[in-house]
Formats: sequence, C-alpha cells, structure tokens
Amino acid sequence: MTDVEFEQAVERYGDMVFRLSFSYLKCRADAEDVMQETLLKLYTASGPFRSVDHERYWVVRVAVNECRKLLRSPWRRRVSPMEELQEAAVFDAPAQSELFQHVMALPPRYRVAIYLYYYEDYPIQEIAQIMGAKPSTVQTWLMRARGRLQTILKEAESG
Amino acid sequence: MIDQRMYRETFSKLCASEEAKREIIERMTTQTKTYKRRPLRTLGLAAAVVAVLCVTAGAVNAATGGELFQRFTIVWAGEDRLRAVDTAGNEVMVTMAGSELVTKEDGRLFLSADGKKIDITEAMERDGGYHYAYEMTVVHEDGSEEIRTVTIDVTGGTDQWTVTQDNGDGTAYTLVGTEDEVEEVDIALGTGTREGPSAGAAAD
Repeated sequence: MTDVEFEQAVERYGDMVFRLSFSYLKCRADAEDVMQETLLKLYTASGPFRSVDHERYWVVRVAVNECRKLLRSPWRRRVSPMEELQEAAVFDAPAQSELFQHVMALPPRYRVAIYLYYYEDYPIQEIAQIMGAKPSTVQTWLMRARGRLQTILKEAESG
Repeated sequence: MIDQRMYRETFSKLCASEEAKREIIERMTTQTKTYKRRPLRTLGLAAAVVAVLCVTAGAVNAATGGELFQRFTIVWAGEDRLRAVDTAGNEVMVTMAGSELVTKEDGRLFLSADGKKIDITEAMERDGGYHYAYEMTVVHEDGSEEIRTVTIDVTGGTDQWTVTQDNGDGTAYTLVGTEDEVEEVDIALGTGTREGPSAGAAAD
C-alpha cells in the first residue's frame, strides 16, 4: 500500500472503525487505539484484496478482534466514566442523545451486532462470521437488544 | 424495533479525532515506519499499575524483606515488566502476565503462551481444565540470566474460564474471562523477587 493509498484508507475506514470500536469498548482513547492498530495492520497487510467489499470486511473483522484483545487486557480501564460517554459526540436532538445512552447501556456484543446490522448493513450471516458466533446467536442478540431497548423506552415514557 | 434512520443519524455523530487520524498517517508515512502507542495511553497504563501497586503495597513490603515500600514510583522495564523504586533507591521488579492468554475464536478456546497458540477446547471439555508450563529466561539489569518456570492453569468451561498464571517470581495473576469480556482481574504480587543492582540495599 502506498502512502497516498493509506491516507485514503484512513479517510475511508477511520470513522467506521472508530464507531465500531467505541460501540464495543465505550472509551474514546481505546477506540482510537483500535482504529490505529487496525489501520496499521491494513497498511502492512500482505496480499491485495479481491474487492472493496472484501477489504472493508477484512478491516471490520480485524477491528473486532482488536477490540476483543483490548477487552481481555488486564490493564484496560474497564469502566468509562459516564461523563466521557456523554461527551463522546454532540447530538442534534435530545432523542439522539437518549438513544445513544440506551444503546450504550446494552452488553458489548449486542452493541456491536446492532452497529454492524443497522449502520453497516451487514447480513446476519456475515456478522456471525465477523464475531465468531453462530447466526442464530447473532439473531438472538439482536432480538434481545431490541427487546431491552423497547422496555427501556417504555419505562422512560411512562416515567 | 430500532429506528434505523435515527440510529444512523445518532451514531454518525461519533467520529475519531482528526488528531488520531493525522497521527497514524504521520507515523506510517515517516521513514521509520514504526508504531508505538500514544503517550497518553501509556500514562494511563502506568497510572493503573500505580493504583494496583498501591492497593497491594503490603505485598510489596513483604517482597522487600520487611523494608517499607510505602512510597515508590513505577518505571516500565519492557512491555511486561515494571520496576517499583522507593525514595531510597530500593526496587522491586514485577513481571506482568500476558494480556491475551485465552481467547475464544469460532467456538474454540485457545491458549496463547510461550509463542504458541494451543487449542485447549477438547481438554477443557474433557478435563474441565488445562495446565501448561514453560521456562522463561529473565535477563537482569547487570546482565546475569535466570531461568524461571511459568505455569498457567485454565479452569472452567468454554463459555467462562479462569486463568491463573504464576510467573515463577512470586507474582501471580488471575483472570476470569468469557467469550467477550474480562469480568474480573486479580493481580497479587505475593512475594515479588527483588532484582537489579540496588536490590541488595533493601535487604541490608
């Protein structure tokens, strides 16, 4: 990969990997570390990719693996303060902020499955491959995530 | 049901900092082509270690043969080793365990140690545990070498497991992991070994 190609790749994948990693790790510093590690691996990746989709899939898979590695690290700051989560992004509307908080309160694997399904439009089969799980398991995660969000939103409305 | 449009609008606000992007471009387009973690993160790691060591100060004291190590600073001595140095220059070397001992990939459990990646799925299912030991050469600051036996015990199942690593220097490390998350980490310094040119000062 040339330097120019690498710069283009950073533009193309930087935010995507960051969003995915933040969804997993709930920490800006960790997510940016994962973004950098992933792009570093892309830079040094040996073979050419079959297509843009293949490259993108490779990047997503590496990012998920990097997140999992980081989650297992004994030195990782395991709990991000609520303030950091609130400052992660500036939202246009309170409803967006509310949705963000609720989604980020879900378990990590649910958050990643939701991100890949609803944001990146990956089919369940591919999400399963990326996350090293069975398709039926991913389906269950998505179903439970939807159920939990529905419950939380209902409680918020009635409260 | 999740409103996909709203979800996308919401999460599109989440962006990596331009600084982080610029940093990786600069690093990869420089002549050295080397990459290191950002200083900010390193400081964070050091702070975490300081916190751990403060909690286990009693264990550090035990490791120093009764000399008090109430106030000390941390100096990293390689990726997996750190040195606690007190105000008198006494020090304790601590070897940290690897950060990714056991992982689950495509439904199988792997132990990564000693430069090897071992599939321990069947052993875990059959025996409910896996034991591995290897010898590690530790090079001291004065150039002398020491052979230590590192033992790793994995217990539990393939959905949740406990890893205990004894570094052979009196430090032990326990980690409870599941498919996705580390749930609990316990680091005991036990009777940490003193090393290095100034170590003798603590015993005298």
